[in-house]
Amino acid sequence: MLRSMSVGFIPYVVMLIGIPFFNRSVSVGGIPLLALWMIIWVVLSPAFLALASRLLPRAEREDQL
Amino acid sequence: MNVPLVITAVIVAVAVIIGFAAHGRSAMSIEEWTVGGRRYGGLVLWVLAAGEIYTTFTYLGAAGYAYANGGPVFYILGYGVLAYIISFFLLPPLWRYAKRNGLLTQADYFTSRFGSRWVGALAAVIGVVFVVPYGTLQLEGLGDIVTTVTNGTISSATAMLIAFGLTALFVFASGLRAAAWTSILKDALLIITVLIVGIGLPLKYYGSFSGLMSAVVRAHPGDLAVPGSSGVLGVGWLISTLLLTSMGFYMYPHAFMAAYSARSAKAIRRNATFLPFYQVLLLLMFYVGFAALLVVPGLAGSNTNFALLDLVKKGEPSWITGLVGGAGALAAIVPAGAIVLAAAALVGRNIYRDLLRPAAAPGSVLRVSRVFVLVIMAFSLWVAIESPGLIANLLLTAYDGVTQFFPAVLLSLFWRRTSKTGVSGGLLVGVGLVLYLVISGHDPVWGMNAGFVALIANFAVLVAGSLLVPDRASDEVMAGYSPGPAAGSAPAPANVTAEGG
Repeated sequence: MLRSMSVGFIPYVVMLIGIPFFNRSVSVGGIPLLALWMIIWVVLSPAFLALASRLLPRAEREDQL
Repeated sequence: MNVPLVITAVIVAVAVIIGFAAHGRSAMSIEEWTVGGRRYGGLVLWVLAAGEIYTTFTYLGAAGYAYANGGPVFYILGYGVLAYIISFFLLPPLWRYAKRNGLLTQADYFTSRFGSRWVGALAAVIGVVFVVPYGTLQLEGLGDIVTTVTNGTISSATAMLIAFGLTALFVFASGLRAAAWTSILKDALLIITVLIVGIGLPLKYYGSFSGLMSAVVRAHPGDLAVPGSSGVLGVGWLISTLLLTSMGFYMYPHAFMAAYSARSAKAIRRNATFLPFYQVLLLLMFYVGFAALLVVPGLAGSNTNFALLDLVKKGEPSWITGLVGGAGALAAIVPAGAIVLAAAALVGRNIYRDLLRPAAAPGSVLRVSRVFVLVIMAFSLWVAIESPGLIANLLLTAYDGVTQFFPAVLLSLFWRRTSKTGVSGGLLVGVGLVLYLVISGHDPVWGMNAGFVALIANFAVLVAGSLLVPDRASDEVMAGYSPGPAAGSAPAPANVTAEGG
């Protein structure tokens, strides 16, 4: 489970840590920089969660309940 | 002819018909009524979650918050996806426990896991106290939307009375199914109108998104970052708010309950994987808020919530105003339905049955809960019409308040010593601090979200209380969280517990 969580939580941790570095009142391609930083991780998170699904313990992946 | 009025009325009428039709032909058991028989997967689970999350507050509030504060609005962009990541790991074991133990409400979980109906009742009271104002907020939002799009033809009180009278009735009849089915219409309309308005208006006035952003920076230099024009909502606030709201997201009693309605743990995880895409749309609402700041300046206080509607009325043809009005009305009706359902079920199960009539039959619990749908809705209407200011304080604290459930839920999954003493102490300290800090005007406190500070205190009390007066959950209780084999095959050995490993 730890393996899966360490991948799944990457977008969570990276988004928060990056906030101070992208907090400038400018826009890039019509998107505010700070919003762009968050959107990147919003859009990437499905990929990280899909990967996290594959790394779940077998019992969890094959749960039939 | 008043085009926006007709379109809004037709949309609400269709939703009400869908809500009643959701009942189906079979008789309604309490499990059907509260958690839809636990059979939702795929699209329905997706729109039900989205239906509860994207409310009038998101719809009008996102634009209004951008208008009023600038950069701090970006928290709305991030907290959803952070919450889905937590839910991906947190909800599957919780769902399995709920299914095996026949749980229907959030407080049922506290009663069952900590073996005390008093802890359950405490959770029920806290849940009701914080969730009902949130429902009342939806009511007021609906009233504002309808009055604005119809140019005052329909008064706010009349709109609330009609729409919420009907909502109370279809929730009474169809329970969670009404919320799930009407969500489909609501989300379709919401996505369409957000796209039309969010792309159309900025382009109409500024030619491009870059043009809009440059204009915003020229007029309000710091507005695209935190603290923006708020002055106090800085980086520390943003990070602590994202942490708090991502943890509190599924702690709303109605969201917790909607998670029970999934048909499998896998459906919950798939939902968490794909819901983030919805979040990107919110960026468009920020553009509308920023455009409104320049095109219809001068709104202040709670009137900033009209930023979107004012701009739409000014810049779009009347049929689009009608569509926006209808979508906004449904964005109030659907979550309000789910909220009143959850609150009524908490009263019926965890206060009426657990405290007053332990021997009550499921049928009688269902009857009491249904009556409370009408009682709670009538109470919310009365508050919304008579004294909207009364709930202002409670509302400010709603998110901070429900998040106080998080430490207990999280620890209970893998720490078997998590005890009723620790949980009740933590809840009381957390909720008490939230009320004190917010009502006395200490939010943010030390540059951080006050709810987050209360959460840390709650967590400390929970751990200390559980160490000093521990309970020891049995192996059977803890096995409730583990993955299981298909129905009919041999049960899994007790040591195959994936959680916490």
